[in-house]
Amino acid sequence: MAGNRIGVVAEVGQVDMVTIPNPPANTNWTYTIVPNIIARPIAIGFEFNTDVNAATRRVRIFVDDGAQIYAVGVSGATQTAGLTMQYTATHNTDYSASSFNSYILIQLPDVFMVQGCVLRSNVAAFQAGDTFTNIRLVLQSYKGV
Amino acid sequence: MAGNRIHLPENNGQIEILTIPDPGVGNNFSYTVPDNCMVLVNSLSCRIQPGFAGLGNRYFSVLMVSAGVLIALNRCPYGIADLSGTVLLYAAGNTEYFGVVNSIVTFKLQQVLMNSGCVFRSDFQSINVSDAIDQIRIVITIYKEN
Repeated sequence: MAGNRIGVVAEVGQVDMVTIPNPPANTNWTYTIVPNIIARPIAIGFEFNTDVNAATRRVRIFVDDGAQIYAVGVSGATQTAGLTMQYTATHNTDYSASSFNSYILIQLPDVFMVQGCVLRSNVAAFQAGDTFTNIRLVLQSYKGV
Repeated sequence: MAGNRIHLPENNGQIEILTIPDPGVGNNFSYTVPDNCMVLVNSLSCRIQPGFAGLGNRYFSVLMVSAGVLIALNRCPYGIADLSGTVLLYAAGNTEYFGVVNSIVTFKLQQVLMNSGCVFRSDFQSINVSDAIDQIRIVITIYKEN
């Protein structure tokens, strides 16, 4: 039974509103869990801007450790060229109304993460000029012991 | 990585049933998390009376915003079409959408912990000067900062 293990101080947690820096074009955003905490993402909001290249993109959210994928959330709709769409990812997403106007919703995996785990976007059919902006993460975390 | 941080207390918080003041016809409601608190909105109920017919399907959404940035959104799948004079009660929480039953619409609510300054608000599509949203209640779990 290998892997990272961490204990927590009972009921001493915190909630962070984290602004993730905008990555360069054609690059996914990432958030790496810092040492000595257990973290649970509870919401993510961001904009995804597609360039003029004709392709059908689908945005996903991965929880992984750089090698192994643990959980994936998939957007409820795809996005074509030349659009800016606002994405939100939460646990209680209803896929029956997951794309409307300029909004696309994602079911966010409800997982606890430890040091070494990474929360990241992943885009199928990512194009050279596609960019992420205004990335905001709501993170519930507990300090380890 | 910039952002606000708030510490959870060493207790389970408390439950409050809040009445959000009627925003007046033609307006959406909003609730701002008070200072030094963290809030989880467990459920929402409100009444909507569309004032106009002929605007096509219009949808009721709930948003959560942090520092002007949208962090969570959900839209009731039911579209109100040409129902001038009809009153619908919306009830959102950890539930499913079943359409309209006895003038009640249920839908999923994004239950996101929000800290001070975050805004929980409605967005009724193309809200018109004669549309009324009232009888707004939210059940929250509120935590005071350590």
